[in-house]
Amino acid sequence: MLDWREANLIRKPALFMFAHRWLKVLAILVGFAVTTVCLMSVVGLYNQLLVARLAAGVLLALSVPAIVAWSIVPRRDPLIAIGIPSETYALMLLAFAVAFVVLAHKFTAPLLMREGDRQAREGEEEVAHAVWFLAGVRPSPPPADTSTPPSSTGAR
Amino acid sequence: MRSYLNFAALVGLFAIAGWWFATHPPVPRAPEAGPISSPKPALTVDAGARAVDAGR
Repeated sequence: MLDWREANLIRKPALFMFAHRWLKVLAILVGFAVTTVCLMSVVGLYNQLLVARLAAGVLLALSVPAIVAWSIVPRRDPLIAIGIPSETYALMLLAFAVAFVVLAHKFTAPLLMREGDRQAREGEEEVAHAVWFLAGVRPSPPPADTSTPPSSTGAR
Repeated sequence: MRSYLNFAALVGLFAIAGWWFATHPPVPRAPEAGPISSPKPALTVDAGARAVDAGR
């Protein structure tokens, strides 16, 4: 019976390693972008400045997984430590994004909608549409002009 | 072993997100919400009256 350490050191199939590597890359890219926007929507409750929201979101999204990874890496066993930082980043960023957007949707959708509004006001149309998509809404089409044009026969 | 668990967790999270966006397509925004929503709730009549009273 293998213990936990030996089970982690067994050579994995190359196909799995390939798939896991790219899944982590995808999770980090998607998770970082969505997590940053989610954090910006929360910070936006207190500070409307784009720079402040962006700085706080990026700082939190990068630093919290780094602190967790730093605290759980076994320093006396470098072989086991291989891959822990990237796995921590991928898991934490994606888990936070899914928890914020999906699990807490009822509470966070208004925050995301307002963040999309702020992005639209700042001229970031693509970002605004992406954030509105996360909030589960899309811009409503402009209301149809229901006023009847002045007719030539009625205006006498 | 840890790698397999991490892989399974990531696949699960992507599956949850995919299921959510597949079953909850974006809906047009309600007209009463307006194009730009206020970051803070608007003052109610009572709160506005209290604010006016407090300023006197």
